[in-house]
Amino acid sequence: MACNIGTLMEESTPTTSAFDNINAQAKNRLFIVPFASLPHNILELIFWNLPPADRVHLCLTCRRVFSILVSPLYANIVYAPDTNKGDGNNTVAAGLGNFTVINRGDVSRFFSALNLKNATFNFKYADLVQKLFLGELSDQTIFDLSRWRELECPHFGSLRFFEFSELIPIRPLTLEEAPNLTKVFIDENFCNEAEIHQGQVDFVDFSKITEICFKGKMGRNEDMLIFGLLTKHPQLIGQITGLHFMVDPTNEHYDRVYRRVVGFFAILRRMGLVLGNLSRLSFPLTNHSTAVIVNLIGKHVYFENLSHLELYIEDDGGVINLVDSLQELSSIVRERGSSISHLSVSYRLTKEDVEKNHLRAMSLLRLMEPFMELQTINIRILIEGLDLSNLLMIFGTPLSNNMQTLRSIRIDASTPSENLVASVLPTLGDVNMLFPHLNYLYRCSCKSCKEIMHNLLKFNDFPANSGMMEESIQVSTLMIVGHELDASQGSMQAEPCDFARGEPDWPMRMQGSSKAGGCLFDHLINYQLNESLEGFPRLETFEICGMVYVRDANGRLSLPFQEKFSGLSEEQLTAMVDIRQIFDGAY
Amino acid sequence: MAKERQIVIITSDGDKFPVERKVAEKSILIKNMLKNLLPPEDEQEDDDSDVDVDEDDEPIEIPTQNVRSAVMKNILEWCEHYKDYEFPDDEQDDDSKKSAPIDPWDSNFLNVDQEMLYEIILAANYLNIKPLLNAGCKVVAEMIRGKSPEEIRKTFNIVNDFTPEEEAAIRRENEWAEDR
Repeated sequence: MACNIGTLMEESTPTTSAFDNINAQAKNRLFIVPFASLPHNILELIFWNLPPADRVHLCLTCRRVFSILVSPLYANIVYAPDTNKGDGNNTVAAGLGNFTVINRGDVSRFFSALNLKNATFNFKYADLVQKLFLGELSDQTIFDLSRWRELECPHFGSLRFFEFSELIPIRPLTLEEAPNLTKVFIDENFCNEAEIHQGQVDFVDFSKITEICFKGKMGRNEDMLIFGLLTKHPQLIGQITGLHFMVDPTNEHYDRVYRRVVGFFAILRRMGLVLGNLSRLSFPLTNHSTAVIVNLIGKHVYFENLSHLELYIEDDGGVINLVDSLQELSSIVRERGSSISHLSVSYRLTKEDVEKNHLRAMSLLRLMEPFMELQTINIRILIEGLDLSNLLMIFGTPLSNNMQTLRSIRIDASTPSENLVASVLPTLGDVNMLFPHLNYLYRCSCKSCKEIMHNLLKFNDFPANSGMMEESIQVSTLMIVGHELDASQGSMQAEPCDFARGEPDWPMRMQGSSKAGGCLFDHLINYQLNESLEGFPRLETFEICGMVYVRDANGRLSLPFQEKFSGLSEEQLTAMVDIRQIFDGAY
Repeated sequence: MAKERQIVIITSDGDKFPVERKVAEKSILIKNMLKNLLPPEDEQEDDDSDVDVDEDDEPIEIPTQNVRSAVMKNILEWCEHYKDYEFPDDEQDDDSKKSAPIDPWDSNFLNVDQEMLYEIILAANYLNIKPLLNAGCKVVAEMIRGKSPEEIRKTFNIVNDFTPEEEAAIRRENEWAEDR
């Protein structure tokens, strides 16, 4: 019998939701294919689509499911002390990716499980762990990690990489505890361990290492350590796929890290080695950078293979050198960087220098232009006094060049209340024409907004039919929104190291977005944002100044852990009235 | 212009489904098979019938031993719907798209009974149709959300083969992940 595919399309489409129907039918049926007999890869795929708590519930259903899914449950662990827990109804909790998040409440019991010498089915949970991010775990009152490291640390047979906090003295895991590492974070603790080993780094098996992250702060022996690393393990250069010179903006200027980069590539030049397999590269540029050094980096990195490029740019006012360096880098990318699909640029001006902001804007714009296949873009521009139109061009150029490919956009600017929001106030009419779907309080029909308007109109000095009522609400709304963005930005991590660590900063960033009672920012822009970003078919996440939007089950970008907007505080209401009085000339 | 050779997919129960090439090629398994049997689609149009005319008229039959007719009908409906849509390469990766919500059309399409849902997932797995496999797994995940282990067992008729002691022990060992 031959079936015609055309007739299949005429069948009626069910109207109830798939889940209701399936659940209803599930009650009285036995299945030809038992759930627990589904292949490993399918069970894992289902597992990764679940929020964290449901993942463990699925594990606990039967022996086979447990034996398959306990491994992914323990595979990638990240400690995020204040992570807001996604519950079963949170549609985006699965967006945390392939990581299991532990918070301050879980941490002791998690380590108890790791320390078990014989778990119920005669295996060790520690042997299941592949990635262990404990960079945030430095509070000894929550868990004494140093003590655990010295006295209880189990053998991690599958561990590929780990990160401990730099804020506590703790020995890194060595060959003895973690013989299969493929990525190392080299920090002060690592340098101290090298000192104990007479300057040698043989406590890690560098024959397996494919990714190296030099932390911002290293030990006094850093030069010797890097020299020893490269000269005694020259095979590393051919095998590493990731090289990250991370910065620590809270502690040091980037110059120190930049000098480390120069030293590293000078050794490569001397040895005549090229990082031929490098796909992920992070490094800083400063006012001491030169086009010659950027060119040197270009000669020793096979840019054709790069997929991830991250730049930490620090400018102390002498922008001219930076202009040359960025121009050189832009040329290299234009000629050889067409494979770069993930770009992160953080530009930090350390002192106000408005006069040369146009130069900064121009060189950043040039830097952004050659990227045409980006899937991820992170742009953080911390330049006080940068003209809004320049800022929009810097953000807008790579977005418009990569609309079809972008999956993740993350943008940030210094003091958003001033540089983003206050800058639009003089041209409010233009803004409203450009963004006609902004949901101002007086336009909104939700209960909260109606209540706010009712409360506002109760004030004698806030007449409803005054011609300037709308404009004053627009201005005061933007001011409140500006403060919300400032607060959201303040909750973000200080270090702009996105590609060195990879995904696990997501839970923390999402946590940073949460605020009790919701936020006016989201209430104002949500509809407009979704309309404006319709032209980005693959976009999954959008972050602005710490507000992390993720596509929800309805395909809309929404703030995952944010409560629904439920009104303004007394203080905010008073501020609105004050603004109204300013409009009336009362002050 | 040369006539496009007909492709016929044969199911495990012997039914035959004639399909357009671009519909069949939503399955990477079939796409790879066709690569060996036919020139690429764009070259096919320019082909000046170098191939023997009789052979050219023969439909290409592709047996799919693991998929029964009723399931194949659904699979082909999905492929027909997406025949003009180019899924990005990254959607072929197992790790991608986990955070993306299920497409509303897929949600409606997968509004079938559990047996059929499993069979569609298994067929998508066998035929290597990653976007359909992902969508099916998302639907199953939605059915699990917010449920206790016992409720999940009931929903999917999973037999609890732990002893009470074992269950209590593994629950205790993993309670750090449960309190959320």
